[in-house]
Amino acid sequence: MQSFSRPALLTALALALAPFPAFAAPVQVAVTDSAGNALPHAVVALVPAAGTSVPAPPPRTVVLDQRKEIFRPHVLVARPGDTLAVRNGDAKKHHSYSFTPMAKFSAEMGPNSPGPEVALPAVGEVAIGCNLHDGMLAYAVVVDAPVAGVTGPEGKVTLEAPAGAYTVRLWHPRGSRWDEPGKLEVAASGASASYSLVVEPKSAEPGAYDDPEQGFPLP
Amino acid sequence: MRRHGLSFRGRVVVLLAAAIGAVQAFNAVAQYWVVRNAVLTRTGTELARAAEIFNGRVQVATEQLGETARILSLDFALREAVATGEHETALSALRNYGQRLNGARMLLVSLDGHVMADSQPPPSGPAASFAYRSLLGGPALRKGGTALAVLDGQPSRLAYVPVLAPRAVGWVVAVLPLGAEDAAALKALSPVDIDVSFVWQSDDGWRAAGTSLDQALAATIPATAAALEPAVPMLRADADGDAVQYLGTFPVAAGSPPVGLLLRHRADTALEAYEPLVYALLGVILTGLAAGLGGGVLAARTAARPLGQLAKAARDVEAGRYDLPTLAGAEPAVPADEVGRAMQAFRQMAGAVSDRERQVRHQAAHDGVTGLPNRQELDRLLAERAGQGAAPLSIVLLGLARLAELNNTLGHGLGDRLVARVGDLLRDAAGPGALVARVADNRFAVALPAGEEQAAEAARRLVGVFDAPVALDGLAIDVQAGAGVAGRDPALTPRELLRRADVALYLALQHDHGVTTYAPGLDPYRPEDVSLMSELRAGVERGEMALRYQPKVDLRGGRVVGAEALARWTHPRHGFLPPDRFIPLAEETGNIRHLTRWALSTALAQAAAWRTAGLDLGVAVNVSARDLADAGMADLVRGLMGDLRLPPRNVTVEVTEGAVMRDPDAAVAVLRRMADAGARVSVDDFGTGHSSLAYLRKLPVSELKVDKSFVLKLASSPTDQAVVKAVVELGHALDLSVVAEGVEDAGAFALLAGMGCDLAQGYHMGRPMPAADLAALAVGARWDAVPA
Repeated sequence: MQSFSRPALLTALALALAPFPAFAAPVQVAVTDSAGNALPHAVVALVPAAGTSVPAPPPRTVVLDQRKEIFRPHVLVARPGDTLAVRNGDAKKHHSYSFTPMAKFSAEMGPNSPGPEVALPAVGEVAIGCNLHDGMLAYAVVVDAPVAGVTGPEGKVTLEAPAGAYTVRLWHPRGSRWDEPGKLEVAASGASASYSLVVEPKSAEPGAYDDPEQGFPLP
Repeated sequence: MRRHGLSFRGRVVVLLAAAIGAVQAFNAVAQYWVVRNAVLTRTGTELARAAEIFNGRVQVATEQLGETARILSLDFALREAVATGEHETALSALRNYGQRLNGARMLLVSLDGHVMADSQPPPSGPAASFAYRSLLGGPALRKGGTALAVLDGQPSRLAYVPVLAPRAVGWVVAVLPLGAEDAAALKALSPVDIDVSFVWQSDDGWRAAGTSLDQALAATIPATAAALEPAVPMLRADADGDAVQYLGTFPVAAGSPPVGLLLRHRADTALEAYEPLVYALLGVILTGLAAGLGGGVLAARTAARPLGQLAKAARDVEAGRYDLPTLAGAEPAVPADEVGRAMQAFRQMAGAVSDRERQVRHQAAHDGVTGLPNRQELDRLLAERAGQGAAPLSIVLLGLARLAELNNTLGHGLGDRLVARVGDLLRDAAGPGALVARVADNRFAVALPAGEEQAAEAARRLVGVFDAPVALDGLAIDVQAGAGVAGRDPALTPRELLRRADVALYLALQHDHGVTTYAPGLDPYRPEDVSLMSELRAGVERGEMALRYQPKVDLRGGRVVGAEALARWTHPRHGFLPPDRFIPLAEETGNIRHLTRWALSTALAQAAAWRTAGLDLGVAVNVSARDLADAGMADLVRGLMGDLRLPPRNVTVEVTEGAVMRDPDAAVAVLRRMADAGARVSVDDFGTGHSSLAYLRKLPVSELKVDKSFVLKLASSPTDQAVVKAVVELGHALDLSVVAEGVEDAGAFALLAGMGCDLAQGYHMGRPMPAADLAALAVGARWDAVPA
């Protein structure tokens, strides 16, 4: 969660604490492909089951940076109402676009320039490309779940969720559809779970990167 | 031999040349076929290689199409249009791109294979789904790909690329049919002339797509493709002749009918490069033929030369040359083979023939009795001498008198030996340098290289040999000999010389002169007479003859009562010819008949003319002994007298006493017929011949004509007067009138008148003259008998 800015995290925590006095517990989720390989860039969302109450987090702005002709992150997760802030961190021009109807945009950005702020009003996957660099591709996955995250290079993600019952939902660019591998009980001390996901081979997907390190924020 | 075809040498040459030529031709043809097959095989290999290259070329082009399509597919507007579902926009963009891609047909295909847009929909309408959807998806999702496939009946290059927006949202498929331009481009690519056709195999056989062939040949493509096995070159005849054909195949998309590449290379084009080889082979054939001919000529010469020599030798023998110079040189060179033996045999034969011929010739050229050359041989020898330009010879012709009697007396055996002895004596007496020949039974010719005088001397010596009797078998035989001499004369032929000697000998024998030398005056025969006789008849027809009339005068009245018609010949070259130049000749040659007929016709016509003019003049025409054998002569006289209405007293035929006596019976018959026809018959030259009074009595004679030899000197010769007087009396006793010829003076005229002679003829009254002069004389002249 290093991508989240500390003020934003604190704000979210404060907001969560306000309606719910309970403290959130860490939930560790590991995702692999069917062969057991760690699967980075997988979206993990926890949808509270009936009886579990998780206060809705406040709207926020998620940032999509472009560095070394790569969208960073390759996959980011947002909730309806959030805003996508595109920026160019490269020393070259980029022309980002998306033809996804709810978040359609097209913007040329000079070197090291901020880009457009795109509203993400509804649930869906927004594919973002660069018209100058065909290899660049990013997904902004808008999901209506209070707890969600994206697996890191080792295919793992640690989420913060109040104890209770949740439905686990998984999405991956090479799978391109939501998977619900099952329910997850989060204890007061947290939980951990592993899931495997059926995905297309890497090379089949245009714009994907063979290097698992790619598509992640640079230090 | 030559008429029937080639000579032996020719046949050898032809056979050898034909054999070598055949071998060469076979060789050349075999070489040509080997080369041709090699060329065609190589052409096939080249076609296979070309097919590979073309295949690669098509693939490269297809990949280029794919590359371009991929770049185009990344167009932002297209992506947007596709991603936002604006298909009309997408289609117009595709159309635009299609034009950029050499007019390619562009399809927009959804990820699940549905055709969403088509820039050139087929006539049947756009297909619902893309035929080769299996190509799409899988690894292709990233970069797309290319393939060759038959789409809507056209073998086409397909390039399919995903539309990334930025994820794949659909497919752009570019379709470029393999057309005639592509075929032409491939054809242009090849250094050799290869025609390219794209074919594909439908359910009912191969079909043609683009081709570089012309229309006529394009029609044959399906059949050709069907006949070919893929990747196996084949030499095949089509509408344009022999061609090497090759069917290559393209890898095609799964589910596509096979697509092929049909290559065609004309065989003659393939062989064109080998034209020099063909010429070289032709050269080889011709050189071989020439060598064959040369060798044949050489071989034939070797084999045929002896035969040719034999043939020439045979011709030599034929021509009478027996020394055989051709064989003499050839024989040593010829080994004892068949030809050599034949030559030897031929030479022996030639020798034998030569011997026999010498014998025959000797017999033919020599007299069997004396062994002396005969007449022909003498002629030949003399002609040979003359031809060699040797000194001319004089000829002594020695004749034996009484040889026939001797033969009869002694018998022919002894007679022959006598003649042989005479030959020997003559040969001995003539001495060396003289040529002695027996030219007739009783004639020996001695040719001497001497002048006339010496020859005459020699002749006397030769005749003198026989002054003494010839001793034979104990008999002393008296041989009488005479000799004629003809002196040498370079202008004369030997034959003429011999003739002259013969004339001289004739006279010598006749007059017992011993030796007579030829002189022109002695010669009754002159060569020019011969030509004269041949011209006589033509002369008669050409009117060169004319009649002159010599008056006959009545001795009692002194008036002209008639005339004797005498022929004159004015020859175109010789001029005037007197009768004695041609009448005797004409009698001898028989031409007298024509002359007599002409004279009768002309004279009788003249008599008729005189009668018409009121002159009663008789005309007398001479008839020769020959004419008396011509029964037609009397008919002619009869016819003429009838036609001209001449009374009998006006026509007289004069015939000499001698002529009548030669064949009295025949003469009597003809003369009688003439008398019957109405002509008077007069006996000419009466008194000179040995006329028989018996015949004279039988003859139908009306007149006697006293020969002029009795009349010319009548006045001075009492003997002649007596003879003439006797004749006149005889004539009158036989009731014949009497005419005197040769009356040249008034004295004779008077004497004749006194003797009672009826008519006179002679220069005293007139020479022979033209008819008109005679008529004038008859009218105005009169002679009186004045006693001398």
